[in-house]
Order: sequence, then C-alpha cells, then structure tokens
Amino acid sequence: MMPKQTDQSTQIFAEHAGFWRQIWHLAWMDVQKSYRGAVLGWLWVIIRPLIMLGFYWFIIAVGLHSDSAAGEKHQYLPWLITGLCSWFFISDMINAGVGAFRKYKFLIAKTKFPVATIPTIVLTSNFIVHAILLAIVLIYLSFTGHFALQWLQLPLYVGLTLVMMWFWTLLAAPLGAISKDFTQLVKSLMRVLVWISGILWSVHNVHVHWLREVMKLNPIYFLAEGYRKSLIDHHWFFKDLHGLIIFLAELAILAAFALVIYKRSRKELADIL
Amino acid sequence: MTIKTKSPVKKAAAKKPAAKKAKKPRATKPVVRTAIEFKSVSKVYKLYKNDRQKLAAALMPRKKLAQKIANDSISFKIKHGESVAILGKNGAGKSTLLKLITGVTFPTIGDVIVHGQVSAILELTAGFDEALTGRENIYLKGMVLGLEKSAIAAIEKEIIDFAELGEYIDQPVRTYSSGMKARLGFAVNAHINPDILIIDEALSVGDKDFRKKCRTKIAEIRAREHVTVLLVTHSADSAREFCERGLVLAGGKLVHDGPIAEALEFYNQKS
Repeated sequence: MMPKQTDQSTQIFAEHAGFWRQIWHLAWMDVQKSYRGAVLGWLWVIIRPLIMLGFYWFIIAVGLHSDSAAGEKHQYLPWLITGLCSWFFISDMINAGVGAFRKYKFLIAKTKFPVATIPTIVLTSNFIVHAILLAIVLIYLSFTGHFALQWLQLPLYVGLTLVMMWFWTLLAAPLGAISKDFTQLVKSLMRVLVWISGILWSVHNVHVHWLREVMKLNPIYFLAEGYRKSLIDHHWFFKDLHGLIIFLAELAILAAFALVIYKRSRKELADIL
Repeated sequence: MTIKTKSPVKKAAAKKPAAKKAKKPRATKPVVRTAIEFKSVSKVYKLYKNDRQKLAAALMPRKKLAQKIANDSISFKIKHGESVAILGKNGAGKSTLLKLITGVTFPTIGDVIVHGQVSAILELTAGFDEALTGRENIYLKGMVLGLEKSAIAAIEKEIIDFAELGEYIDQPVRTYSSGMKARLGFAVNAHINPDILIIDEALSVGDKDFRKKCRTKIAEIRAREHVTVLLVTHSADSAREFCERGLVLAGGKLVHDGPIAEALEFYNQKS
C-alpha cells in the first residue's frame, strides 16, 4: 500500500515524474502564445531587449557621458550587453514567478494538476527565450573577439540562475496567489533592482567600502557578474570561491523558505485562487 | 489527511504482484474494486475578509478565522461501474464533494481515495486556456490527462465533429460563445475514455439536438464496463435515466444513500 502520509517535499519530485512531456508542451505553448498574432512574431524576443539596451546605453554612456560606468578596465557596451542578458532573464522570471499560480489558475483551481511542476513550466518557457538571446550575445561577443576558454564555465552560472529562479518561483507563486500586495511590492522593487544590482554601472564605482561590500551580497549581482566573468573578463570561477559560497548560502535560505511556504499553502491554493 | 489517487499506469504496475498473490491460497478476499471511497471526510473553507488575512493565515496556519463547513464527515463507497446521482439543493455541498473527488481540492479531515482516471465535466470549460485555439486546447487537456500525442490525434476529429465547431476550432477559445465553449468542453471530456465520469449540470448545455447527443454519449459511456458515472442534477428524469443509486446531500451532510427511486423520493419530500 501507499504510505499514509507522504512528505510534501518529496511530492515535488514525484509530481514531476512522468510529467516531463506535459511540462515541455505547456512551456512551449506559453512561448508561442506570447509571440503569436504579433506581425513581428518571434522577432520580439530580440526587439524588446534591444530597445531596453539602446535606452540604457544612451542614458548612461551618451547622456551622462559616463565612460567609466563599467569600471576602468571595461568597454561599456559588451559589459552592458552581457549583464543585461542575465538581467532580462532574471527580471522576467521574478515577475513570472510571482504571477505563476495566478496565470495557471485555470488548471490549479479547476482540474487536478501537479502544482509543483508549474515553477518548472514557467522556468522552461522563460529559458527558451533566454537561450535565444544568450546565443545572439555569444555570437556578438565572439565576433568582437571576446572568446576564451572561460566561456566553458558559463553553464555553471546559467545553472545557478535556473536553480535560484526555480526556488524563487516556488516561494513567490504561492505568495503572489495569496496576496496582491506582494505582487505589487515585487513589481515596484523591480524598477529599483536593475539600478542597484550592478547591471547598468559597476559597483566598483561605489567608494564607500561597506556599501560596496553590501551590494556585492546581492545574488543578482553575483549571477550577472558570473556571466561577465565567463564571457568578457575571463576569470575562472574558482578564483572567487568566497562569492560563490555566499551565493550558495543565500540560495539555501531561499530554498528553505520556498519549501516551507509552498508546503503550507499547497492544499489551500485551489480554494484561494 | 491524504489524497490517494492511483493513476491507470500505477494501477497496471500494482496489479502484477496482486495477481501473483491471488494464486496463493492466502488471498481469500473477493476482489470488489472500489472506484471512490470517502472516509469521514470533512471540508472546511476558511472565510477570508481580505488579502491580509489570507497572507497571515498562510504564514501562521494556526490563526483562527471564520469557517464554512461545506462537507461534514461524509462516508461512502462507490464501486467501479456504478452510476450515482448526487442530489441536493444549492449550497448542500455537491460542488465541494465533486472537487474532492477530482482532486482539485483537499479534505480538511478524513481520506478521499480515488482509483482511476477522473474526467470531470464540472464546469464544462474548466481547464481551457482562453488564449489558445480550440484545437490546441484539445491537445492541452489530453496531455494534462496523460494521453500520448498520437492518442489525442486519434480522437481529435471525433471531438471536433461532436462539438460542431467547424472552422472555429482554430480560433482562440476566448472568441467562443459560452455555448461553443460548453460544447467543446463536453466533447473533450466525453471522448478521453475516463474511468470515472463526473457530470455537473452539463445536460443543460446547448440546444435540444445537442442535449440529445450528449445524453446518447453519456449512455454510451455508461454502457462500457467499469466506467463509473457521477451525475449532479436537479432533474429527476435525468437521474432516473442514468443512475441506479442516489446520494442526497443537505447542509453539507450525507442524509440519504440508496437506490435512485428511494433517493429521489427522500429528496422530493425534503424539499
């Protein structure tokens, strides 16, 4: 017979088993849905980031005339492009994560559905877009002479981003389903996050020592820097294990919170939504 | 406080050792396969005044709130192949009962045990993504219920024909009229060969011809072996036509369980 009381955290894995085909199908439908109907269709995957890139570049490099925004050692444009590539994925996932359960309300509240797979679906669908963008960035960087052996460590940082965003969704989706205030709070913070996470200007420009060190604790900074270390700075990740360990500790805390919140709210979700 | 659902796949896997055991003289129990079993199941909804209460309750589960008892210690067993009508006035707890069976929601106290693939025509449009076309929704629903793509392709035309949607099948569902949505919903649910078919007021869909077609389809599904049908209805005729047993709910409690004629009589006397 089946065990009387199954542990919720193991159910998260159990719900994925045998459901991968459906996860992929739902994720793929989601991507298609976003770009279908638009005349430019899939081109929006590139146009949207290009507009943002153009805007940030114009404001900071041209408008503020701040050539050293990326620090002394860097050319601004490749530095910005690499960071934004990471940021677009993270920011899309932060927003999508909060809205994940509301978005799939028609499945959660109306049918029997393995809810724990929804973070995976949302992550997959956003990652498809990210993969396209990343491929374009890699092509751009290789043509501008940035290729190096350190590119091989990029999958590490992509992987860490995926794990963190998955747990973020597991945490934020129930909270977003429960509270509209939480959704609004996250949306408001997003505007601030891009400016303080070292995406648009280097935190090394901060001259107050403690403030700079605090900003470096930001996991979003760590991930964006990871992309930059791999692609344009060519620093091996093991040269800065300190930062990696801090990030992993933050990830563990996030995961613990996510599991607790998900576990507490799982059975209420269908009633709340 | 667990929901135990056995998918057909697991069932098949579980059968093997059972069959081996059956050869041994020890296994004396007759195999009566239960489709649905409720063991003193209660469902209590928390009534939140606002989002803040919801958030507080999620973070601090022990917090006390106003409550609504939708199902009050209900126990029953339904065997495979039975057709059961669920009778009761609005607010008697029928919808909650069906949601518990389909596994959408979870019991507050007690156990719900369901064996087999459940297809629920609860709200006919349940589980549709409005942004996708009718055809894509057929695949979506089929996939979610665990069907292979080829299996869905095999019934795709049948579903579209049954739903009488014609060229609209490739238009987004959000452009459908409520009647069209309902027809598609019924067609999908009726064609995926469920082990347990739940029909909630679905017989009032569409025009007279379509209703007739639905009745014929339900009769056809019912005629299949081992298909369990649950029908929620206010119509005594439908109940008599499709069901041999009736459960009567009142105020969240199961007040009568018996042959359909008795159940209908009990229900009518009460109301």
